[in-house]
Parts: sequence; C-alpha cells; structure tokens
Amino acid sequence: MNKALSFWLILALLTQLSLLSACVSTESQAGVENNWQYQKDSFIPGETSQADILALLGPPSQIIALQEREVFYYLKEVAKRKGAVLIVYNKLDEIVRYERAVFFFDENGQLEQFSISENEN
Amino acid sequence: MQSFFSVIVAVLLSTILCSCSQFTTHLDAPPPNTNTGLTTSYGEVLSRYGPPGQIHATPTGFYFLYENVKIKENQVGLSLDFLMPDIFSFVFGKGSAHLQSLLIGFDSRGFQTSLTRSDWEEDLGKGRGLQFIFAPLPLVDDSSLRVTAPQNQWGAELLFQQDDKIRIRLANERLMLLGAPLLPTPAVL
Repeated sequence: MNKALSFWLILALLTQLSLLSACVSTESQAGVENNWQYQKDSFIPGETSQADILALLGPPSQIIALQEREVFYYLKEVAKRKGAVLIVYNKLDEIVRYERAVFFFDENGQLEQFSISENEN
Repeated sequence: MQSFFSVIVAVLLSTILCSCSQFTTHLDAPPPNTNTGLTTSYGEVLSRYGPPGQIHATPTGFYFLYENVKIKENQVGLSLDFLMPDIFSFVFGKGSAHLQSLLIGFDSRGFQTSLTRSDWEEDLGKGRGLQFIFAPLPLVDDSSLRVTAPQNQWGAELLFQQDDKIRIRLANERLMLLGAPLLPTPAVL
C-alpha cells in the first residue's frame, strides 16, 4: 500500500515537472551600435579629430568636459538572461556586459588617447 | 512502520514546501587588480585596464570608476493548499549583493593622484509575496544597484534640463559610498 502510494506520488510529481518545466533565454540591448570594434586602425592619436570620430561612429552616448580635455564616451549595454523553471527548483541568471569606447581630445580637438573594451563575443 | 512515516513526511513536505528559486545578476566585469602608483598617466591606465565604467570631472581633475556588482536572491515558496485552493502560495526571498569598485583620481594634467579600492557585501533585505499560480519573480528591491548606465541617460538628462544641484547630490552620494572626495561645485555632467 505504502509502496504503491509512493510510486503514484513520484509518478505524479515527475509528470507535473515534465509538463510544467521550461527554459528561458532573453537578450536586450541599450546604447549605441558598436562600430568602433572594427575601426580600431582609424583612430590615430595626434591625427584623428573630433569630427573624424563623429563621422565614423556617430553621436556619442556621453560627452564629458574635463578641464583640459573633452571625452567622447560610447557605450553599448548587452543584457543576457538565462534560466530554468522546474517548478520545484528555479534558477534565473542575468549577465550585463558593457562594450565601451572612450576618446580623449586635447584643447584643439585632436585625439590624445583612446581605449576600447575587449569584445567578448 | 518506518516507511509509513517516511511517506507521511514526504507527502507533508511536498504539500507545504512547493518550490525554491535562485536569481543572480552580474553587472559588468570585476575591476582590475591594479598596482599602478602615483604619477601614472591616465593614458597608461587606459591602455592597461581599458575604458572605465564612469568618468567624473572634478574642479581639480577627474576620476575613473571601475565597478562590478553581483546580486543574488534566494527564495522559498510555501504552498497554502491546506488553507486556500492550490493556486496560491507564499514566497519568501532574501537578497544580498557583492560590490567591487576601483576609483582612480587624476589631476588636471592627467597624472594619477589617488587610488581607492572597495570590496563589500551588502544585505539587500527580505521580501514576501503571495503568489498566484506560479511565476518566479524577484521579491527583493535591488533597484538602487540596477541603475541604467549613466552614459545612456546623459542625453535624456540634457533634454529634461535636470537641476545641477540634483546631479551633484547624486554624484556625491555615489562618491560618499566609495569614500572619495565630494564635489563642491556643479562640475559633473
């Protein structure tokens, strides 16, 4: 009797899990398009100007005015979510990755320094 | 007799304890484990560690902020089958966060003047919910850590002409958490 009850209980549980379980995977993006990754060679300190950068990459996400410099900050935000919904146990993970490019210009608008984040794709 | 009690316990547990859930969020990569000393130029910092998460201007120079946040929430769901129809359940959640940051200060010429590293755990508190049917959702309020990147809000802020005082206060709240010098004048965009 007990064994039969356990058997049906486990069978019902497994059936429920197999019917209701699910996997989730979503991705969202924000910010500007990452056009800098493939144009690294076009950025030359001392030669490239603000106008060149704007022509190549478009409007930056942010412009920061420092005392002796001006910074163009380009940012793309990529959020990936993955999860397993097994009813009894559920796990949802979100990883937010940032692709960045910063360009520092001197007082004459010439590129002084730049840095691009490593592309993990 | 023992197996009979085992079955009873299993049935009771399956009736009361209906689920547990785990939510994790990783915002950005961990900050670099830097050994740079004073007089390092900002160009060297950029080439070694890549672009910072944020750049703040100050009256005497500027700051680079590298930051990483890991948010974790664990939940346990309790069924209310014995009180209500089995479409409701109580869910209890508890959250915590691990924050790492590296703040590097530079003078107006671009040479490093300070370096502050922070690494701390934060209790995000608890949350309770009465759940209808089933939907695994976070219950702990972690909105203070899940802010949209300021770079992606900058344009909108300009359009809305946000008051300088508010922006300075927000920047100072952030700097205060990091133990960095506060901004005395409206110098941050």
